[in-house]
Amino acid sequence: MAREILKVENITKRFGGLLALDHVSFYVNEGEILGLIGPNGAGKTTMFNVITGVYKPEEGRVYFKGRDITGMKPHSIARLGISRTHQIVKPFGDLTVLENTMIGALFGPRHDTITEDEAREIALSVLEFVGLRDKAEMPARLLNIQEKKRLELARALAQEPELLLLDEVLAGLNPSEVAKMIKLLRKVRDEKKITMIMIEHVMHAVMNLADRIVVLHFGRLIAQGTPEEVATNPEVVAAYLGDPEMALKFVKRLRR
Amino acid sequence: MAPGKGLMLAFTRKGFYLSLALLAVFIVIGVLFWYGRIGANIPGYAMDAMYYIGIALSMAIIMSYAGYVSFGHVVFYGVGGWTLVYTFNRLASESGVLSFLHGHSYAILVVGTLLGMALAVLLAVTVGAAVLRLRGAFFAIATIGLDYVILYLESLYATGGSDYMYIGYERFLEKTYFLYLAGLILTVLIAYIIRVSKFGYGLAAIREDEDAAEVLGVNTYRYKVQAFAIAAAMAALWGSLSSWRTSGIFPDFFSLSKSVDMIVMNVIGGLGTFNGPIIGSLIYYVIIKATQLYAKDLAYIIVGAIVIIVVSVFPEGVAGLIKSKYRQLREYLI
Amino acid sequence: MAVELSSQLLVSNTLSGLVYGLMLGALASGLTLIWGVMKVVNLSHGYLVVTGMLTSVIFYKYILNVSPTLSPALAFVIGALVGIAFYYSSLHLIIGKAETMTLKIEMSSLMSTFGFGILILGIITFAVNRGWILSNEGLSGWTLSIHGKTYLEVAGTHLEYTKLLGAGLGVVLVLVTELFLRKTVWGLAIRAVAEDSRAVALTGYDPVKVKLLTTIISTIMALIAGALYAIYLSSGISVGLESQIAPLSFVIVVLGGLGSLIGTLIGGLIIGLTYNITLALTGHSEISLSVAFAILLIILIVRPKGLFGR
Ligand SMILES: Nc1ncnc2c1ncn2[C@@H]1O[C@H](COP(=O)(O)OP(=O)(O)O)[C@@H](O)[C@H]1O
Ligand SMILES: [Mg+2]
Repeated sequence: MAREILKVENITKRFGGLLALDHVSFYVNEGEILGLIGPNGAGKTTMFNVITGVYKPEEGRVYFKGRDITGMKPHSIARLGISRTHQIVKPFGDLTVLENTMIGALFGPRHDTITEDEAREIALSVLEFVGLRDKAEMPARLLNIQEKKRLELARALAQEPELLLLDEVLAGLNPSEVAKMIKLLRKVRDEKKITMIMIEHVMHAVMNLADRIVVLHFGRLIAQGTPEEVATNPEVVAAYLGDPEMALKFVKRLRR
Repeated sequence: MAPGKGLMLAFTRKGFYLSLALLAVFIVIGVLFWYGRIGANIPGYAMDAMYYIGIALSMAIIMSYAGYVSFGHVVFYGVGGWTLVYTFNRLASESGVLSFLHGHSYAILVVGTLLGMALAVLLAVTVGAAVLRLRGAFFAIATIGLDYVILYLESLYATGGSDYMYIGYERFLEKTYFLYLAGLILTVLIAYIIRVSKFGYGLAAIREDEDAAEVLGVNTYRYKVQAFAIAAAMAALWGSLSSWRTSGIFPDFFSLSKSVDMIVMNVIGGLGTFNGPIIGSLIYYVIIKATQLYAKDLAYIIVGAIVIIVVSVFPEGVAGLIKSKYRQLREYLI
Repeated sequence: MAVELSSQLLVSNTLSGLVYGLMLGALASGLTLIWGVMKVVNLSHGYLVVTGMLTSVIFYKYILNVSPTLSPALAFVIGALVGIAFYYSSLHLIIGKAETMTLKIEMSSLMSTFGFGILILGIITFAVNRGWILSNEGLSGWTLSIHGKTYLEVAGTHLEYTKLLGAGLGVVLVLVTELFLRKTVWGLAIRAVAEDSRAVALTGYDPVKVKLLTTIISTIMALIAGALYAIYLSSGISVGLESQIAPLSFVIVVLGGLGSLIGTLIGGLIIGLTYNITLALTGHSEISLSVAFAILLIILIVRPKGLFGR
């Protein structure tokens, strides 16, 4: 029986009159990859912001490994072992790629014991892992968009999190970059065994990587299940997917 | 950051060489002065330079390291100077609570300086803690307001007595020189340790993107308040030292223009580096001195033009400029 | 008897506070425009106002000997020139190409306007040191009298015509600018920039031109308001006034909400009244100013967008 690592319960988040999240509940099991999908403005990023403590929900609770973390400050949540990437990348522009990544390591769950040398080692190995080792000494602002996304990932991985939240890491990449990034995410799952929630618009990627999928639409959770179940759910299709045949074909071809 | 070996090694890094060289120069000047080999002119210039480096580094902790431009920083400098004078004239007077110190000028100096620093820290963690909830321009403006409030209240207080408060103890320039040197060494060490420590990385993250820093586990608010308090203590230290040197405080001890000096030195030197504010303050001192000597009328015009040019053409400042032009010097200019 | 006296004092301070408040609102209006529209926190604003004051004095006393009532027209011309110089020297390289204002760009422009302010201070100091103008100027010999009186009497309070004229024209300045922003295509473009620099490109206007225009208008407003303030004050005009004008303008703009011209008039009234009434109560202008800044600090911390801001 898989252990639940994260559970969100009845989360409601409003921005003025706008109901960005409407009583949303779901869970993630340890070791799993959960896909979080839905049209633009569905509330996906907002859900990440609620989980990481950036926003306080009006209603509902967030549990991480059974512990209620609702209302905790973002830095405390990060230190518990939840790391994220940002949809709109936020590199520390004037710092080097290595420094960016070291900051991830220094302030993660091991923040009170880690030394600078250890942080540097972790950062270097993570940069090697994501393929940015040769850019380590470069100021982060000089990276291209694909590299900046990798840096977001590196910074999060350097924290050695138990749960990784990925916000559209594939958006804005060209097809060959997408392929590389998918390979990288596979590596994260297989080698680092980190639980992940990924928000993604690139459908074949989610359908392939995710064990289960949760679908948001105008702030409401309209479906959850395996990729196959979700892809054939009529409500989801109506809301979003367009062509279930296509999606299923994808799934089958790539799974083989 | 774990202290000990790592920290000791940090001082052997190339980034600290400039400071070591400067300190060596100041020590040599001090020794020559002490033994009467040189007159008071050169030590006077050296003390000016130490003062500029000191206040620039105190501002750097909050402005250059953490990215918060504080126009109110002079308040802490003023508090330092004011407290020292108050300690001399009231607390350690024959009838004051510290009357047992009366007559021991150096003991009063130390106690007064520490009191001033403590008061500055207290002010920083109370008022500052509220102001530090603001960001960017709003923070800058709030600190302008803070400075004016203190300035007006102080002038109200000062008009009750004399506007120039005098320290009536005999001082020896040679000793004052070494006090400045001690202040400088302390300031440089603190700034450098912060810059290369985990705390410094956290501040850098705040400067670059505060939200991202928070989400990465940096306790941004606490770091900001701590940086503000340390910067305040350092400013108070220099306020105290310079009121000792000038034997009292003038109303301009709280004037916005000192904050301006501190800000401009950091801008010229380049934000985010340890050596930038040091280089910036030396350049600024030379400019100020030269304009005082040769073009007194043009002082503000020159400073204004420099700020505009640096901000819009070389936003990374002198240190940043050198770093990007000469990659081999990068390690020296952290 | 004592009660009557103090209530009379209160009435007169309230009335003069209202006039002062409208004047202050006009003084701050240029700042709210550039800050609200372009997110440029113009730290040279106070010096621009002083430039306007001195423009008025210089033309009156040293050059043309024209009546100060014509000085707004001169301030308009000089303001346009200074505005162009301001934009191209201190802003263009930083914000010209920027599509959205990041925190870094905001801080850079804050610093460069700060430099521009020091530059103006330098030029004025230079002129004073060379003896071209006095350090403490006035429109000496000029008064405004109607039917042989220099003041209007309202509820036992003397409101000088010079003050009424300065503040009144200040209100006109703000209203005219508001009309310009609402009724002209350029005004529309400027308001579009306030939303998003890219939106302007859609309207077909060159964003750089719109930024330049906004800077010029803001500068003209500062100079005209300065010229009017010279009329209002009549004497004691010096660069030192910057240290009151600039911080009070910030207080007022924050109170009124960034970018809201009408808001600055309201903010000005609040500060003008607060100032005069605390002055009447305490007798110290230092305390009045401190109260104004205490309000600023509290508003910034409790409601950073201002009382009336979005
Ligand atoms: N800070 C905010 N203030 C106001 N509205 C917001 C804010 N953040 C998100 N929203 C709104 O909430 C809705 C959900 O946004 P978001 O979570 O970013 O969607 P997405 O699913 O595309 O990530 C959108 O309508 C968005 O405009
Ligand atoms: Mg999103």
